[in-house]
Amino acid sequence: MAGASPLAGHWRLLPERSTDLSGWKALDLDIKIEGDVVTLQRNFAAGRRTFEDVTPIDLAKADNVIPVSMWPDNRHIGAYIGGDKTKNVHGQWLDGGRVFRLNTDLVLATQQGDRQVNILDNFTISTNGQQLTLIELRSTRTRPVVYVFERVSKDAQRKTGNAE
Amino acid sequence: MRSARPVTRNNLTILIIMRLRSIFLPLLFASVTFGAWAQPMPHRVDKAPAEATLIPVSSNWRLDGDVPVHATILSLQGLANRDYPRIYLEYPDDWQWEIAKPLIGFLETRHGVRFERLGMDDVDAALKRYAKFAKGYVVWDKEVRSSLIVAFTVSGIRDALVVNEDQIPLAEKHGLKPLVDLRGIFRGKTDAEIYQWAYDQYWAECSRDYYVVLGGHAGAEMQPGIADFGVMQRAFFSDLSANPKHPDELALLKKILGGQNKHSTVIGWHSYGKDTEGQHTTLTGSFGLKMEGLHNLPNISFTCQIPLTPDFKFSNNHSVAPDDKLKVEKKIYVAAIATDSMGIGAWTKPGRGEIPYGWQVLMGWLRLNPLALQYFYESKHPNDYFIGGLSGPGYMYPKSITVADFPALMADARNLMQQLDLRVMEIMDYSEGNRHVGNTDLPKELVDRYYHEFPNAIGFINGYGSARTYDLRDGKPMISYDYYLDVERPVVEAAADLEELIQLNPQRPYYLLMHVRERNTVEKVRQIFDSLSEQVEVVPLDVFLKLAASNQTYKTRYQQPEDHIDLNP
Repeated sequence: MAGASPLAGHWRLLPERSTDLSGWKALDLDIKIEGDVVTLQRNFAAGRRTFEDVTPIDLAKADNVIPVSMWPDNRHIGAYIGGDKTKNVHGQWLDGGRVFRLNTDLVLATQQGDRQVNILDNFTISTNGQQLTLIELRSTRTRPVVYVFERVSKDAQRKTGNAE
Repeated sequence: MRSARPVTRNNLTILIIMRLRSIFLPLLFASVTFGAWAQPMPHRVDKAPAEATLIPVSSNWRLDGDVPVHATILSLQGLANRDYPRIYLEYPDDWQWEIAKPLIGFLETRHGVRFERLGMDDVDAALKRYAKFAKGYVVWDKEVRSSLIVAFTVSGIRDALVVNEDQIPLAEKHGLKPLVDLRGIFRGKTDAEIYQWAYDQYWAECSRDYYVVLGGHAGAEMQPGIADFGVMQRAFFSDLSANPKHPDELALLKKILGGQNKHSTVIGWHSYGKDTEGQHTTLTGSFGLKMEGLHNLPNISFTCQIPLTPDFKFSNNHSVAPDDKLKVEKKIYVAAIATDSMGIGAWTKPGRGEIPYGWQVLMGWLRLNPLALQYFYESKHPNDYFIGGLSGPGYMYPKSITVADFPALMADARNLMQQLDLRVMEIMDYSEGNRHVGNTDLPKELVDRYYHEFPNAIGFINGYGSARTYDLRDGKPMISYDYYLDVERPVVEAAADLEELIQLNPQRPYYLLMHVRERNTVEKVRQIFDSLSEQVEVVPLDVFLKLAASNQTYKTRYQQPEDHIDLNP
């Protein structure tokens, strides 16, 4: 099932259909599926600044412990990767492979210290396989984050906007 | 090296000071303590002029549009205003520094100036009145953008009107003769080669107190609003890059900056097409130079000369006395501060006065733009509170300032804060990162130096985006921004951001310091606060700091050795 999943491929955020990207101006998502391992590679950009992280999830494991160098998900707020700078991730396929779900636990460091946070990510593919919708629920946030991606060629030029 | 320099009007002052210093050394030490080592004040008149000329300029700032006529007008403005404020330009409504127009009314009503208004971009009428202040003209090459920047340098030191070949007949109609012709000589050359040529030809005669980086908009557009002041001061102009990807430009830029007077001013802005704000400001600070950052800051050759009215005194809206101790409750306390230079923000936009709000004052304007400061101070609402910045007497990154330069620069900043009735110093450092990557925090040793240099401050602020340097010493907190309000951030998402911070920081009191990016209005900020599901108390910044001093729920933290560093590529 996994090898044939339409989730695999290179995806680019559609800002006009998504939640504002919290400081970044562009986000590419590259998804590779090899057996039980799903690897998510995110590339954020704002002007000339970029940040990339890679999250390999072995679906056969109940818990994947993954090092985290930076928490890029909301650069407007004073929250940084904390604790031992890892995240614990569990992944699973739902609905016959149409939906991929991640359940992540990590610690964010704030001005008052470390705070445990849980994050649920649902990746849903459109029936034509051309659009990917990511709905993220953070235990600390009162609104869902919705990112809509389109399938693009990895070489397609992207707009990264301006940043001081 | 300094003694080998030709004596110009600008460094003559320094030479005199150096000689006086040998005679009155003890007295001068006392002066240095209070910041008198700062560069000379631009020429100032005793009283604003009774009459002046107002020239409206269009909103077209393309090189193939109205830039040629604007360049001519700007050079004429710099020359005519050199010894007296004669020409003020009325910029369009969409000009980034939005106070240019309100200052016209302020000059009329508060300073008694009566303006004679010319037609839009009417350079012919302007020359009819003021061509006598030019000794001739310099021709820039329409095929080479950088030749216009060189022409501004020539304009200042040769008293030359800036024209392109199409405008030569107009200049000659007003009796001006050719002085320098830049046509053809720069074609096929790099910017490093062009500015090296200009350096070889003119730098020795240029100001050591001001260097103009005429960057900002790049390519087909140019907004050289600061050019009049550079011409007035006989400054060297360039848009040389501080980016290591351009080693030839960087090497020349270092040579220029290293040749300027200690603690003098770089005015303008880095080129959007070449380097980053972080790279350029890091470099200028490493030479101990103060950045006054806006390439399109208008009319400074006029406004720098206008004195404060005799009845005016800088007075801030303090809500607490320096020694007050406040009782803090288990609440969420919020303070909002706008930086990014008053005048490109929300001062004239809806909502100001509705909630307590902080505004960072560019303190160097006490020398360069006192008129604007008087305008801001006199038009403040009781809810407006001013703070000092940015990091020192100009826009500087403290991690890039040498330890040797730091005390004198901060003495200058202390002096400016005292004159401007400011009690809070805001610090920003993009030398090792920015709001996206790297870090904007301060090591403990640097925090120690700030506390040492500003004993009368009631507290410090750090960051631009969120940062994580926190301290509390002797009742004086150093608090970093916990939130950055992006201009594009919708109200609902911003409210969700604040609520997320409130969730992430469960202890009460929680001190949420918010940086409001330039064009966000106070009205938008109030809407964000109004839409929160949690009750917060929005307080003036001085109250916020006093509360933060009463019960420290934030953890003391400085930049750590393992914090990521990004050199702003």
